[in-house]
Amino acid sequence: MNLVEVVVAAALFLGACGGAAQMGASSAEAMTQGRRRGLQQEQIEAQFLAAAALLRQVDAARDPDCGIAAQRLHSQLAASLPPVQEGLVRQLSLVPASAQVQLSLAGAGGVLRQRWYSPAAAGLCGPSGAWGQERADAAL
Amino acid sequence: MRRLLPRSLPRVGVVHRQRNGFALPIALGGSLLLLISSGSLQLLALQSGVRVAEQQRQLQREDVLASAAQQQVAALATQANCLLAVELAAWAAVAPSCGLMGDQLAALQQGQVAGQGYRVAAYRPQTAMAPFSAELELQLTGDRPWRAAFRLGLAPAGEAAQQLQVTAVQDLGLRGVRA
Repeated sequence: MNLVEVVVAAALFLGACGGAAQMGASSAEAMTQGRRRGLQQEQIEAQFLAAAALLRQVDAARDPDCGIAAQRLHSQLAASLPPVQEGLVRQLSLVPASAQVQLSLAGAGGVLRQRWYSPAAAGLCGPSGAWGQERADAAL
Repeated sequence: MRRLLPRSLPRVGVVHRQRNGFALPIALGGSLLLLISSGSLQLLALQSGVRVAEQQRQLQREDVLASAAQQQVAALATQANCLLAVELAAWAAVAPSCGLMGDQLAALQQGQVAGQGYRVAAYRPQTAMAPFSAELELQLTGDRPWRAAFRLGLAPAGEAAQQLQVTAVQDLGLRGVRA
């Protein structure tokens, strides 16, 4: 064993240590990010579940105008959805053209989930008995 | 020569030992072990990243299908509630009596949510006895035609018992990819 060999071996080992440390740090970072994403997904699911529960529970008179029902649903969702934790951005918007409410949730790392809710699908608006009566009258 | 030979032998031995030093093999082995272990850790992290990304895409597909169901049921409830009690196969025959033209009916059987197209794959009402319900299946168009099912709660619309209205939509989950 001479000095050259020791120096070469030390340099090699130190280089490998540096490389391994770098790779380990990046994998730890990726794993932390994955865990954070998983937590965010859980929060997003909780928001969607809360919105679905509200759609089932909402006890409002059937409105013939779906635009008005969408506005009401929008304000009810805004009031009753659980607060989002840090790192998650919630956007609740009304889509008047289709009488829908859009719920968007954006998180870190490009996570974006969005759903649209129609009050008509929850039986909160739309033609009811009167519509059928009109058609029956028209047929006569 | 006789005097030189005994002296030269140990020198040869020293040179031989220098070539077989233990520091370099140990360093090589250690480095390899370190790199392999950190490499496999990184591979694991990459795999978990790929899995998370795929899970994310799947959840986004479910979002699109759930939103499509809301849109589709709203369209049926507001524009064509006379079709609520009719199977999909009979829609074309019943549509004219509801005042729906061919293109209106075609528009009712497909739609778009967040840039993703979908179509109605099946509609099976159950109106033999109360509580009335219907099963709606929607399928994404495109290269991954995922299908999802939804149950509609139906109720007679006021006094006109012939007419139904939607009371709720329940997500029954994904039904796989079908051509």
